[in-house]
This record gives sequence, structure tokens and C-alpha cells, in this order.
Amino acid sequence: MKITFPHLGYCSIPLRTLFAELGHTVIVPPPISQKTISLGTLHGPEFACYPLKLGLGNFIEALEAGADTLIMGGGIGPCRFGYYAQVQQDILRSLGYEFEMIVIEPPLGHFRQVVAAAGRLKQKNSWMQLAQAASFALAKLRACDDLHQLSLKIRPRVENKAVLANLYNRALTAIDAADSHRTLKTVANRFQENIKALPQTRVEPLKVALVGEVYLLAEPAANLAIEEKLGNLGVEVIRHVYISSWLKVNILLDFLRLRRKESAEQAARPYLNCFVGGHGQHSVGETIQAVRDGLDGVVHVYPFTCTPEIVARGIMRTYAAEKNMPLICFSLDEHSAEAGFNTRLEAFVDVMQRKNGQGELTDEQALHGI
Amino acid sequence: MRIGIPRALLYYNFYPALSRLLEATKAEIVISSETNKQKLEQGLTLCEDEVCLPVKVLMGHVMTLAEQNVDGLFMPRMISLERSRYICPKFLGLPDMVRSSLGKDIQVLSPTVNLSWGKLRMFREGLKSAGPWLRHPLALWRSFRAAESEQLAHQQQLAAAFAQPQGTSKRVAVLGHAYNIFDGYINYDLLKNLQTMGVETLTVENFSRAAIEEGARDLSKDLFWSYGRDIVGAAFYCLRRRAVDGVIIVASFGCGPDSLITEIIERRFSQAGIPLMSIVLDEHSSGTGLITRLEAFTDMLHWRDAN
Repeated sequence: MKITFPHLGYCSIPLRTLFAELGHTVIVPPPISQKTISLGTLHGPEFACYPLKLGLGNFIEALEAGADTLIMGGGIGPCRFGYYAQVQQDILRSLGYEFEMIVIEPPLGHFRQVVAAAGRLKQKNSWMQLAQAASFALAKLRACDDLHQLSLKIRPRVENKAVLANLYNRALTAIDAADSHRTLKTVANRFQENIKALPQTRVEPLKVALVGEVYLLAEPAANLAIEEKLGNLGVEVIRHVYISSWLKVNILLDFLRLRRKESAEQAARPYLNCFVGGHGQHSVGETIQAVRDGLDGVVHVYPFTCTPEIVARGIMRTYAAEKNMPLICFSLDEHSAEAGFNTRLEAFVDVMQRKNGQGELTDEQALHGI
Repeated sequence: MRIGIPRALLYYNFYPALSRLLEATKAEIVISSETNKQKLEQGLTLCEDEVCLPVKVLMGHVMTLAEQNVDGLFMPRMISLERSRYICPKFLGLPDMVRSSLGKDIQVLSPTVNLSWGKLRMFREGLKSAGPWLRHPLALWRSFRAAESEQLAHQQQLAAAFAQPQGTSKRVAVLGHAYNIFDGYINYDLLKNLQTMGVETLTVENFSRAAIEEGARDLSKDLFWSYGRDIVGAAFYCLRRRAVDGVIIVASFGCGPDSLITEIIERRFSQAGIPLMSIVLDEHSSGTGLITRLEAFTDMLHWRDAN
């Protein structure tokens, strides 16, 4: 099988590892480009959400590169993501591609399908080997998440942003190439230390909570590299939703029927007392936590027409206005223009700075393009 | 004690049961009048731009009720009408959305409705939320039962329409959410206009459960939105049985579930030989444009016969 899957930030690294360990040929789709976006929007339903279109673009490019097996996630609603796979499959077949699509549904409610899909993917490997491959892939995912979290903390403080970007990319490549738990640990630690050793300013940066829908949070091509831009503007980005934590809560805990004890969901209850699909309740909860923790602002990103986030947005706006907390919402899709986006982001940072009493911009911030 | 019920969203699905349900309380029921320009404009000022049209309309109705000095709004938190299926995510957060944009002046009565829970738990939920206003707990149980049978009778009566033999006029299935199909203001009297053009119309409610289940069998994966599944089921049934001369799909702009449902239906109909038209509604739609499109569609149905 020549396996492919859609991009989601750096998730191609653990996914490639997982399937390669099981002996499959893996065709990672080319990085999301203007071409990917055009392909997805040309063939995708006009009013569908952005992640569906980008995933469709990834699949088309991977099929062109020779892939014959598509791996896609499923879901049980109420968010639209649960039905992406069926719509994408219909579209790709009508375009004349021949392939097999393996949909990984959440194990709760679809246990047999999950076992069947895993059985197909493991080929001649034993279940033990499958578990080992999965655990190695998860270790890589966690290494990537840790690295990313460090980069968010360091970027506003580091003097030379270009060196950091370079180190970060080299670290991802090294994690991708690691062939055992041991080498993975060595390279991850080495890069963490190298990054921490970069010369930093002592100025305490503004701190912003980045909240919203998980795909838009994790995929820089979809969120116009918002984290990097904020970091370069001298803002520390605090983000709680990561793919590894999402997997733990939505797949493992739900499957074991353990009660969710997430602090963001608890915090949201007085304002949004119910799961609304996607990450709506999280977005509200994290806004409330951001006020409580004394952060300087909240940035909300989600795909245009994402219902759970729109429900959250109305509630967040009222709350933020009450608490005098700067809040900016970006609903993004293929029509988002980068220049306008940058301007709004810079204006928002300005607002936070004034509110914070910093008034004028520092030379350093001016240098970096405000 | 006055409780307001907005004539919006699921009102159009459940109005037979609604007043029966509230008979058990001491409250006076106020139902807002039909949607009009003023209500929509009020709704627009209260909502985020990206919220779909039906929610903007709902907010308009809520405002109207607030001006009529009601003490509470009856707005259940609709989670699920059947096992493992949901309605759209906006219904889950709706009471919170209304609370957040209204301020704290009006109480919002929002018992959670999750029919996969079973009757007893639903009853307890009703007791909890309407407690202080109830005449008697038993009265609630009786009104539960009365509401249920009234709703069922209403649905059966609607479904009987389908069984009637087709006359000489063209038959068109107008499929969409009840709040888009039966609110004549936001769809520019779509059903009436079609009827004056000599077309017999059927809505999702006119299809029997059996017909919808038969149609839904053609889905590659079962749909987890109850109303979306009904729409697809009805559309696929029309296709299987050649039951109508044409299908019109009505969706609101930005509706999450409908964006995928319309795609699924359009793909299946593209090769099928039954004409399909899809209409997208929002507050910028134009009545004249819509009527022109309807005329063109019905003309085409007649033209197909002639050729």
C-alpha cells in the first residue's frame, strides 16, 4: 500500500513514522501551497469548511504522486469533521481517481471498524509490533509538541528570530529522521538546549492566549503562520490545545468513558454549559482562564462558518467586553488576504501595548515590522 | 407569570406539542407573531455577522418578546432527538447565546432535551427546570403524554399527504429545515409562490418515516444530524422511486450541516434525470430574483414533458 494522509501541522512526522514502521510506503503530500488551496477550493463544496478543502487538496496532490491508500479521520458529530471522509471520497471518485480510503473512526461506538482498520494497516505485523509503532509515533508527536511549545515561549524573547526559525526546522527534520526512542530523545534534548541557549532580551513580552478550532490552531498554512507572526511582533503565545492532548481527551478518555475533567471546560460552564462540538466550549473556557491569569489578550482562530466556534464567539465577545480584555477573532478560509490579516494583527498588538502602558513601541519591535 | 415562546427555529417542528407541554404550568403563554422586517433587523443588531439567518431571526423574536414584558423565555437546550444523532451544534449552545446577548433581565427556561436519555430522566429534567411554576408534578407527566400524542398525530397527518395520488399538476419536493421552509418572510413565500405557479409541493414532513429510512439507506455512512438525515433521506427516496418531478433544496448561508448535505444530494442527482435546484437564503437574498428562478424551474419541468 502506498499510504498518504492530509497535513495537520507537523503531524506528518509521527504519521509517516507509524506507517513506515509497519512496512508501508508512505507518500507525504507536498507542503500546503497555493496550488493545494486552489485544488481544494475548485473541487470542494463552496460552503464547506476550510480544513475539508485543504485536506482534499492534499489528497489530490498525493494521488498525483502515486498514493493509492488514503487515511482519514472520522467522527460521530455534531461537528462536520465526522463526515469529511465520505464527501471527500465522493469528490475524488468523481474526479476519476482510484484508491482505497481507510477511515479511522473514534473507537467509542465504532470499536469493530477501528479494529478492522487497524487490522488492515498492520499487515503481517503482530499486534505487539503495531503497539510499538504507535508508541514510537506518539513519542515523536510529543517531542514535536514540546519543541513547539518551547519555540512559542522563546520566539518573542530571542534576539535573532531567523536563527530560531532555522533551528526549529532543523529540529523537526531530525525528529522525523530519528529511528529509535533513544536517538529521538538525544536529538530532541540537544535541540531544546540549543534553542534555550540562544541570546535573549530581558524584556518581559506581552502574553496572548491563542484559542479556537484545533485544525486552524495546528496548521500554519491555514492560520497564516499566526504564531510565528505574533512571536516576531514580540508576543508570547500561550496555547493549550495540542494534537497529543486532543487525542488523549477525545479518543482515549472518551473511549474509557472517563469523565472529562478539563479545566477549560469547567471554567466555561457558567457561560456555555454544554459541549457544542469541536472546541467551542474550550474557546470560551480559555478566554475566561486568560482573564483570570492576567494575560494581555485573546486571539481566536477558526474556519469560516464553523458553527461551534461561532456559538463560542458571541459569548466570548460579551465576556471579554465586560472584563475589558482585548479579543480578536479571525475566521479564515481561502479568501483570507495576508496583508489585511497582518495589519489587523499588528493593530491588535498595538492595542495590547497601549493598554499595558507600554505606549510607544521599542526600537526592536519597530525593526520587526510593526 | 408570562412565558414567551419565539416563533423561530424548532417552533416550526414542535408547535403542536409546545403549548400542550406548558399547560402544566401556571404561566400565561405568549408566542411571538410572524417574522417581519423589523424583527429581522433587530436580530441582526444582536448577532455576530457569521451566525446563520435562522438564529438572527430567532434573536429578533426574542427581542420582540422581551419588549412584551415576558418574565421568562422557554428555550430548551436541544441536544438529541434520537440515539446517537444530534441536531446542529448551534442548538446545543443556543440558550447560552441568548443569555449572553440579552443580559440578565429575562430568565431563560432551558431544560435539556436529550431523547436518548429515556422518558423518566426527561421528566426529571422538566420538573427541575419548571419546578416553581408547576401546578402539580403529575400535571407535568400528563402534559408530557398529551404533548407526545398530539405531536405524533400531527406528524402522521402530514405524512398522509404523500399517499394521495398525484393530480395533473407537477409535484416538487421542497426540502430543507422547517424553519427555512415554513417561515414565509425569510423565504419570500416560497411554498405559496410555487402553488400559484400550479405546482404541488411536498416538504420533508410529508414523507413517512419508512420513506425517509428507505432513502437514507443509500448513504455511505449514516448521518449524525437528525434533520439533515431526514432531508437526505427524502431526497434519495425521491430519486429511488421517481416520486416527484423536481426537487428544490433550501439551505441557509453558512449552515454547517447543509453545506455537506447539499453537496451529497447534488452529486447523486447530477446524473439522475430529476431536476434539482438549490436555494441559499440569507438576509441579503432578493425576492424578485427568487421568483424568477422558481418560474424558470417550473417552466423547465413543463418543457421536459413537451420534449
